[in-house]
Formats: sequence, C-alpha cells, structure tokens
Amino acid sequence: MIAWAFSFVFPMLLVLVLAQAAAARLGANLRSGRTALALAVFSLACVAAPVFPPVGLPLARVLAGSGLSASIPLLALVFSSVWEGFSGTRLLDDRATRASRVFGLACGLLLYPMAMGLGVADPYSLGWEFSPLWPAMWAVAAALIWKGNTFGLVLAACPLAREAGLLESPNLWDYLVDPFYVLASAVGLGSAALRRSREATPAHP
Amino acid sequence: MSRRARLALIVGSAIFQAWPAIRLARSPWRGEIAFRCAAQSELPGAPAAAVAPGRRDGFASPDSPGVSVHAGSIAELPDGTLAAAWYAGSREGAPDVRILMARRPAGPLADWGPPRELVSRESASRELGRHVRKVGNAVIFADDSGRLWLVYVTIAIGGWSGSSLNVKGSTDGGETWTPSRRLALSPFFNLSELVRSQPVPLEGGGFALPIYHENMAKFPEILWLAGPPGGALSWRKSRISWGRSFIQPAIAPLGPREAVALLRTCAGERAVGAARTSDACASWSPVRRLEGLPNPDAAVGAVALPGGRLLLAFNDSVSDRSNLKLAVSSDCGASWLRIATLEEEGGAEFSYPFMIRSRGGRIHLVYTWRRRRIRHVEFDDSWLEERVRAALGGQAR
Repeated sequence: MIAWAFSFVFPMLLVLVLAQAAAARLGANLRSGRTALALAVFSLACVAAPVFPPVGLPLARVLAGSGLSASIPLLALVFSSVWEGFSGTRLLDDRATRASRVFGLACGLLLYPMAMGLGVADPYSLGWEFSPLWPAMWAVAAALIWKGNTFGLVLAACPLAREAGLLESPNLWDYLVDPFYVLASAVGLGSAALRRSREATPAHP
Repeated sequence: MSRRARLALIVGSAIFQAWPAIRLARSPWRGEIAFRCAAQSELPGAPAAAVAPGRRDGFASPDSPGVSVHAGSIAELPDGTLAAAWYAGSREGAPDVRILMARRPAGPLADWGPPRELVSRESASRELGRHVRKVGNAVIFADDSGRLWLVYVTIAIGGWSGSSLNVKGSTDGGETWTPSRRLALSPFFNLSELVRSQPVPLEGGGFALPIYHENMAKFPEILWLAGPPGGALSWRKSRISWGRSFIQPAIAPLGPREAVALLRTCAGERAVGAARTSDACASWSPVRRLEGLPNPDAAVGAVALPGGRLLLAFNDSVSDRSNLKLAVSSDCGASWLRIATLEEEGGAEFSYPFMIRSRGGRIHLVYTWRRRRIRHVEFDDSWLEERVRAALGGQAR
C-alpha cells in the first residue's frame, strides 16, 4: 500500500515541473503559496485521475506499469527543482548535483551491464539483504556529508526508504539508481564537460 | 552545516545502517540452505491415495478447438489432489490469453474437473493496479501446508522480453486466491523475468524456483521465495549462468546441497545444457552441452528419482517438437538412456514437459499436446524400471 501510494510521487513531481514552467510563462507568481497549492493540486489530479479509460488506471499507475520506478536520488533531484521553482532556494546546490550525476553514472555503469547478463558477476544480488553494498554506500554518504555535500543526505535516506518499503522492490539498488537517473546523469555530465571545453577554447579574434 | 551537525548525521546514519545487519539474523535466507530431497513418500501429508499401478494417460484440459493451449504445470496437494495450470487463448501472446486451472481429486478413478479461470489480463491489471497487455507462462506448486502458489508472467510492453513475474496463493485448494503481487526482480524497469519449471522445496520452508532472463542476454536464474504469497513474502534472486545461450532451467536436486540444472538452448549448437551445484545454488559449474541430447530450442522437464538418478522429458530433435521422449541418467546427467517415446508424429507439436514426483512416488508429467490440450501422463517406479530394462535390453541386442 505504501509503495502503491508512493508511486504517485514521481509522476506528480514531473507534472509539477511542467506546470511550473507553463505557469511561469503565463506570468504567474510561483512564490505565492496559493499558486504553489493550486499547481500541486492540479498535478496530483493529473496523475491520480483515471486517465486511461480502457483500463481505468490513473496516469501514475500507467507509468508504474511501464516499469518506471524512480530512485530516491532522482526523486530528490526533481523535488529540488520543484522546490527551487516555488521558493527560490536550492536544496541540492551545484556541488550536490554534480555529486549526484557522478554517483548515478558510476552506479549505472557498474550495475546495468552486469545485471543484464554481461559477465558472470551480478552486483544486483548485493542489494537483496545486508551486504558490503550497505557499508560502501554509507561510506560514500558519510564522506559527502562530512564535506558538506547535501547529496550525502540523499544517499543516507536510501536505506531508510527501503526499510519503509517506499518502492515495490526490496532491493537496495532500486532505491539508489534507476535507468532514467543514469541517463540524466550521463547527459548532465556530458553537457557540463562540453560546456567546460567550450569555455576553455579561446575565442577566435 | 556545523561540524557537530555533520558528525551527528554521519553517526545517525551509521546507527540506522546497523538495522538491516541486525535484521539479517532473522532472514529466511540466512544460514545453510538445503534442498528437501528426501524420498517424496516421506513428505508430510495424508497417505497417498490408491492409484492404478503402471502408467495412466489423460488430459488435464478439455479439447477446445480454435484455442491455443500451452505451458502446463502440475502440483500435488497433501491430500493427493492434483492441480494443473496452463494458459489458453486465440494464440500465444494474444490479449485474450488466460491462465486456467483444473483439479483432479485423489483416487484411482478420479478424472480432471472442468477448468476455471485464475488470471486474465483484466484481472491481473486490476489486482496489480497497473497496465497489463497480456499474460503468459504460469507455474503452480504446493507447499506442505497445502497452500497453492501460482507464479505467472505478465507483459506490459513488448513481447516476452518485456515480462515480469507475479505471485498469488490459495489456502483452500484453489477455490479462492489472494490478489496478485508483483515481484521486482530486475534493475532495468523490472523487465524480462520469466518462469517455466517446477520449484525445488527447501528444508525449513521456501522454494528455489527456476526462472530465466530473456532481454538482450538470455540466462537462467533462481527465484528464492519464502513466506505466504498474500503476506510477508520474502524473495531474492540468484544466477545460474550468464550469456545468451541457455534459458528455462529445470532443476533436479540430488542431495541436500547438490542439484543438476538442465536447460533449453537458444544458441546455434542445439543440445540440452547442464550445470551442477554442490553448494545449494551458491555457485554453479559452467553450463555444458550434453552430447547426444539434442534440443530444438524447447523446454525440457526433469525430476530426481530415488538412487540419485535423473529423469528427463525432452524433444529428441534439433529442429522441431514433433516427438517427446523420456531418458534416464544414473551419473548425474553425464550419460542418458532413452527409455520411452511418449509422442511422435511429424508436423505435430508435443512440448513444454513439466514433471513432479508425488508423495506416493508416482511421476506426473504434463505437456502441451498439439497446442490443443494439456496431456497428463503418470507412471510409477515399476513402469519406469520396466522401461529401463527394455531399453537396456535393446541396447545389449
């Protein structure tokens, strides 16, 4: 039941991002509490209303049926973006965003090829129960927290979310990483690298 | 954030990390896992009902012209009742495919009852709260308490490679069932996990259910299940092999920690694959192709016999499923003796054998019969020994 209810959160945040963009274009004041509430209610209605008549499923469950299950870091990134839109405050600053991208890409490269059958090892098996994955992830989270990087808090929340059963999966990997997060991380890191290389190239006279 | 706050967060998260480690002590998967491979007649449950000696053939499903019937499985309840499940529809993978079940009460004259629907794509969608495009392979099995389990495939997008697995259970012999529950098993959109063969019961409860992955790579795996399907179900997954060559493992336990997995090949070299474990699936030998046991990219059925022998049901061909034979191995699958031809007709299909050994020691085999029905063949040790003797006699001549 918790996982079922939680499956509405990510689609709702995605709709909120789009609604924020549309409202900003229309000149609405996003910092107003009333606007924020209206957009939140609108987004929830969008994902919760049965919009798929042949099956009678809400949009959020249609997305869940396609296998879309957002990891905690992806949820945190999207939530941070929504929060910034409403309050102007960044929950995950540039450093945290960069750390999340590096973490997402590294996890994706480590997990997916082997979990999909490339090689005899299966890192996904480390996520079912307490294993070296837990202390390893905690060490990364602790190091980030010590350095004042807020992404460390996001990582520290992942086992908490697993204990609460927020996702259908009991596997810790599914709380740490998902295919969209890996893709977004790769795109983010790639575009950042491209931007840096452009900035480093001296302009022609 | 102050230094003290950071330290508090780090210590707090470390304390929280300890919780899963503490909980590990109560895990059903902790400690040495052992297969329950005692003679099935020693298993708990009511004494086996009287049955006719020798071999008995029949059909678990009615003849339904125009309906494609496939992928049968069979289970025995403690009172001797048999339950079979299969899928049927206008064609394999069609939206109208439903998973059906029939029962045969214990007794020498009892026959299979009419089938009833267990799962359709509509019911699966309703119970899972998600879009289901079609349903597929289902495996039915029973635990010692008489609870029936059904693990079945649903597809939301694409073909078989877009499959995921679901479980439901019944405590009244299949009259009523718990709502379906989806099993998250794969990190990549939870796609491409399928089931085909019978599970191996574990000492202390739970099952090792052979499953397989079929997207990009194709490899055999094991789904470990414990706890009631409608309650605090616990599951995890481990791997038998990797690569792109073998799927649909059928596992036969030879001892508490030893087992042989026999596999369908989907690679160019068409022969049944075999792998061995001697540590209850913690590790497996590399899969090797069994010389002399062809496989036309079709499922095999396997069961352990007393005395450490293996019984295999398979299509003895590299190209089609027009025959179904039985073979016995006395050396853990190294060599095989063909003992019986159950079906043989050019152009026809006899496929997807699924075997169990009952509490009374009888072998129950179900398989797809011309894609029209699910055939049920049962036989006892005397019939089997007679076939072995005849085959050995034929070899000697």
